[in-house]
Amino acid sequence: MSCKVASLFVLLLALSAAPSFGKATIAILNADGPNEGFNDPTPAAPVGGNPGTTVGQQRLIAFQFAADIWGAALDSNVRIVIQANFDPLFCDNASAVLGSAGAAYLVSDFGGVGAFPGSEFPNIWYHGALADKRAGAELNPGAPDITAQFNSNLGKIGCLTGFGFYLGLDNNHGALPDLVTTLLHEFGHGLGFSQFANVATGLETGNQSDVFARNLLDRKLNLTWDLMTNTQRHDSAINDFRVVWQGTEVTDAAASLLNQGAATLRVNSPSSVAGFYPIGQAQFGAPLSTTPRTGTLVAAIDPADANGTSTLDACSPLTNPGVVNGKIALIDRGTCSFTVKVKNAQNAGAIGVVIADNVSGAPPPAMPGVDGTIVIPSVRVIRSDGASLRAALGSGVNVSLLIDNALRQGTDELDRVQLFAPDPVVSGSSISHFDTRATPNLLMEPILSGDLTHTVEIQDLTLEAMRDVGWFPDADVDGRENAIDPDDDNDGVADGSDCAPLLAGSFALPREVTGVTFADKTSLRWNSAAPGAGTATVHNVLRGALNQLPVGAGASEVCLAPALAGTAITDAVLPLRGQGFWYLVRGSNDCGRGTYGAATSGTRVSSVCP
Amino acid sequence: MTRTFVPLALLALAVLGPASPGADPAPVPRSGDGLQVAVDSKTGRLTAPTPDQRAKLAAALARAIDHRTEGLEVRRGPHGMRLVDLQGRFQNVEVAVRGTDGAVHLRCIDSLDELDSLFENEER
Repeated sequence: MSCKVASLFVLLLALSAAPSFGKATIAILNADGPNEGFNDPTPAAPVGGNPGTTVGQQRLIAFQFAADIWGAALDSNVRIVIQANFDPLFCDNASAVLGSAGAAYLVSDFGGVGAFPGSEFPNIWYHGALADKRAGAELNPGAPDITAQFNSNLGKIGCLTGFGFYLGLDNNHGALPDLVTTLLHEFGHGLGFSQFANVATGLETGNQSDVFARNLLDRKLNLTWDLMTNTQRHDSAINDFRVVWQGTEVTDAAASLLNQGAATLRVNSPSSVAGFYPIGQAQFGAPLSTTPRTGTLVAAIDPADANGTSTLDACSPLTNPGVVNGKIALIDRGTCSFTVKVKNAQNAGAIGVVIADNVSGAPPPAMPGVDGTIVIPSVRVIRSDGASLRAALGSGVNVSLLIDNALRQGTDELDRVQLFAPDPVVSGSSISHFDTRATPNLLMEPILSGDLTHTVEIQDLTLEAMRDVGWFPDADVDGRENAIDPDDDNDGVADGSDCAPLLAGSFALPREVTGVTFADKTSLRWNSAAPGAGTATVHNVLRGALNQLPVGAGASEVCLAPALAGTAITDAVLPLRGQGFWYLVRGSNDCGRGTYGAATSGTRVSSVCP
Repeated sequence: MTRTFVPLALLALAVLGPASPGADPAPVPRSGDGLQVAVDSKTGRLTAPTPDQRAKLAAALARAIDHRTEGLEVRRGPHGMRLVDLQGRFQNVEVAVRGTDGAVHLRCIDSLDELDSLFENEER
């Protein structure tokens, strides 16, 4: 029996290597058989903060680590289960499948099923884990929410030899694929970042749309995916550059995260074709800059001759230099090299070139070539855009070639993030990822970049996307979104009076500690500062020598307890004969530090205790 | 199946028992999804798979890259709830491909078309 077959028999021996610490508990269901995958007993040295001592342990710890990162970012009172296993997957020394993951099931129209309000929109699918969260109940008992399968052979001889997963938790992966980053990405798909229409046909699962698709706006059709016909959805899936995420959380975050300044062809007029167009930049000639190269777009005409039978390909010297001179030339791709076309336009006096592709496909690739004599900028546009511009030439088309600060890299002019929608359609990658134009790189792009960090909520847009699909913040997981919940942390103190409204353990600055007394010669006791401040309130105990008063002046000061939850401490150290100690106690919590006593002004007089 | 694993399977079934809220779910059978590409021995470039290889790859990835919506059964629940088991479809597959520069690139795909896009093509 192979390990693969053996793994079908579930051994529920270990659910996780470490408890989840987040606001949502995400458990890893180990579906591996004995001695394989998560149970691989091969000894391994701890690496990058991963303390496991076997390959299997380290894999499981990395899985739980990634799950905990998501768990800390999301709120749910229903445990999320990821059924996972490692198996030998197809690979060789040129390529390998690292793994796969996705939602196991979808739910719709679940209002009234659990204690919480449930679905926000009728006839819309929700990913299983998200549906559970919104219902406040397990809607599909006994089933995992997400399934994941990864390659146990990666890095072994013949399987991208030496290129195995980096199992450390510190992201110090070098050239190796980082397992934690890969898992964060794949778990993101399973939790909410994926749509469930067949992009090749436009058909929807169960004849209804999903929460992800509701956020997909096609600017060309001016429709969201949930409102399209199958044909429109099919066409939209290859509408590169023009399918954007309309959710406000992502848009707001993108406005401060993504870099300003995107290379584009900006059509200034007429209004029928005005707007921003995706381009491929030339690897020769003048590079684009924030200073626009602006001019009237005109057709470059050349003879139909041995260099090219088309009169629009500019493979021969132009026959209309009087028209092209001082303008931006529109040229069809094909027959001769890009450099020949642009050079002929330059010789005719063109100040820039737009080359229209002669085959379908998007995004427009860069234009290779070397010619040091070319000094004007040139760009390539996709075939359909080229056709639209050519058709409008009679109306007088004014364009600019530039790096436009009105655009962020990976967004439209309204900061709406573009989705990956290449032509031809790419099932799976298409639409269910952010576009690769986004800079800095995002976790949910189809290409996992080496510079990604282990986060879903800082310097990334993934958590914001989750918010947009319905993972609303709910600190006390009572089913009410923080924004409308009068007491987000359910600690009995209204948010307006709570200095830490999302933390149930703190609601006020600790008052001065009272009742500080010696129970005996070495034991100090006091009344807790927690009442009136919150159960998370702890105490600092500061000690100093009487001959070094005032507080904050003496080198003898010691912080006996920087964060003591209790109300007593024993100090076995005795002062020197003829000397004495003083002790000060104060409370602290997430709202801040209290004072050391009634005699102080409230300002911090000693920095010995944090 | 060898005898060795029979007791383990029975044990697993006994442990799982009837589904109940909060109980650990039963794993479902999985396919051996995978992809393979070839390196041209003369050029060292990644080459697109032959039709035969492609057919094998398609078979290997059949379920994970399956985005067909046909055949997915919608179950009815209380209060009008609907639920559909995706049966392992709509998975996202992470692939690593070594380029001609020796560097390995990671890409999230779930179709053979996408695999093709990883190959380096000459500009036309």
